[in-house]
Amino acid sequence: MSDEEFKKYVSHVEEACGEEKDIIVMLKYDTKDEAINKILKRGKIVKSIANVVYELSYDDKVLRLYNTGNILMKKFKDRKEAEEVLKQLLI
Amino acid sequence: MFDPYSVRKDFPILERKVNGHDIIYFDNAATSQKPLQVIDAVKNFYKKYNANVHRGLHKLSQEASELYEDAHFEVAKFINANSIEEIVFTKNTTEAINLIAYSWALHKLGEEDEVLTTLMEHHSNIVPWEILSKIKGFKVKYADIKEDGALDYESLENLVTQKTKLITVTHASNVTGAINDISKIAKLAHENNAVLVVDGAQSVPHMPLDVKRLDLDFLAFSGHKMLAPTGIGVLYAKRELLENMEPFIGGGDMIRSVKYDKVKGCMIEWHTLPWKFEAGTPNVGSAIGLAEAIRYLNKLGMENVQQHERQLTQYALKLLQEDNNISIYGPKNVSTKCGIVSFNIKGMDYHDVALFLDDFGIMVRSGYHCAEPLHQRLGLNGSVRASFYIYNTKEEIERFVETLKEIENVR
Repeated sequence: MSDEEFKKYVSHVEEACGEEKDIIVMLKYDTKDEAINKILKRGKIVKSIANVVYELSYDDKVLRLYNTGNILMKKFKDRKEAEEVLKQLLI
Repeated sequence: MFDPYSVRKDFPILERKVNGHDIIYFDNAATSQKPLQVIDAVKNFYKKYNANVHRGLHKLSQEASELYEDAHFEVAKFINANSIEEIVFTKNTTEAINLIAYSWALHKLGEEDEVLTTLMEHHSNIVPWEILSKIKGFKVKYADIKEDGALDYESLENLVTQKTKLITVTHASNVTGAINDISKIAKLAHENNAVLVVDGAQSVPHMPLDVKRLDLDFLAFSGHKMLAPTGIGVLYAKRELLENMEPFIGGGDMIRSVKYDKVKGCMIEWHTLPWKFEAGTPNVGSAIGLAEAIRYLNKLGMENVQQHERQLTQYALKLLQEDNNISIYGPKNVSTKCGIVSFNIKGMDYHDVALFLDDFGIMVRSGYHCAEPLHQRLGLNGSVRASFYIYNTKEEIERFVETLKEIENVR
């Protein structure tokens, strides 16, 4: 996925401080539903909580997708690794 | 009488809805919202008075300079400094602490010296000292905290030696809300011929503070946490300290003269205080906003502000303590704590809690809150932080706690 296509869906990627990185992604409001559908199609739903949050696994990674358009990506090495996974999910 | 419902009318942002819910803004330790009075003061400056300050001979520059200097007066009065010569405007608390590091410590400290701080500091009161210690070779020592997050004074006292030249502590923790006994630490510092730096980012906006009564050498705080715009902070320092310090940033407006001599080279004479430490065009608009923010807080009365936040904190602690799934960090006695409550919900990630709350229009902060050593010491990977201010109400705390219960039920 090109950076331009990535930017179509992703508004902001925030890297929390600490040794094991938590990455918080904010999807763009206008395209978030499209992005959420793509991610749900590619990731494996482990758990769904009240249709508010989905816990997904993808390629040995765990992420939580909120229907408000936020994604919490746990224990990633860095922002770059998280963005790579996100690009695969958003294809 | 202090009335938060009337105060709320001055904050237009609180009328917004997020995800269909009324906003509950509990992220005040990160930044505060701005009242109309401050917004209008800044707007008015740009509409009527905008010009660069100092040395402009035209009307607008003179008026802008007066307003800018008046902002220094407001700050000086607010913290009971002797004069505006003791008030240096910076970008924020972080820059104010860095100014002390590079204008005072860089020139005064060497390999044999020690800087003493604590494990409860924000990174902004750790990192500048660690960076400088690599350059100058001095040692940075850390006083321990107790299990409830309060400072362990015995540990602090035990770490003071003849080598201690600077003690730097937060007035109030940005994670646990624990308030330190600054008079006691000032006495300890001065008895040992050390200077005291106080990070007032979480105290100055929330309680009355008198730099002379506390006998502070340096105090750093931010405007944006006390109703003012971002980009304006304050360094208070005793005049005799500032007089003997070198400038941190060099450039225009901080010099009296720059002369070039073929033999002697460039000769620079510094400007008077506080301008010697304010190089370049300052953030005039935000400084005017800060002055208006102080006038607003003064009208409310800082004792009333503190009392209101204590009541809210007491109420939040009471309701949260009723839930066995919630662990609260920090002192439980509101007389030793400011309006910050950090916690975790059993079995839930702190970021998840914050994201869930956001879904309901409730804004808190999650993670380390730029205080990783404190979290490490308490054995935590992070926490959720709710922090209160003048416009928050008991009803908001009730909705917040009810929402936390809903979150627990759906996890």
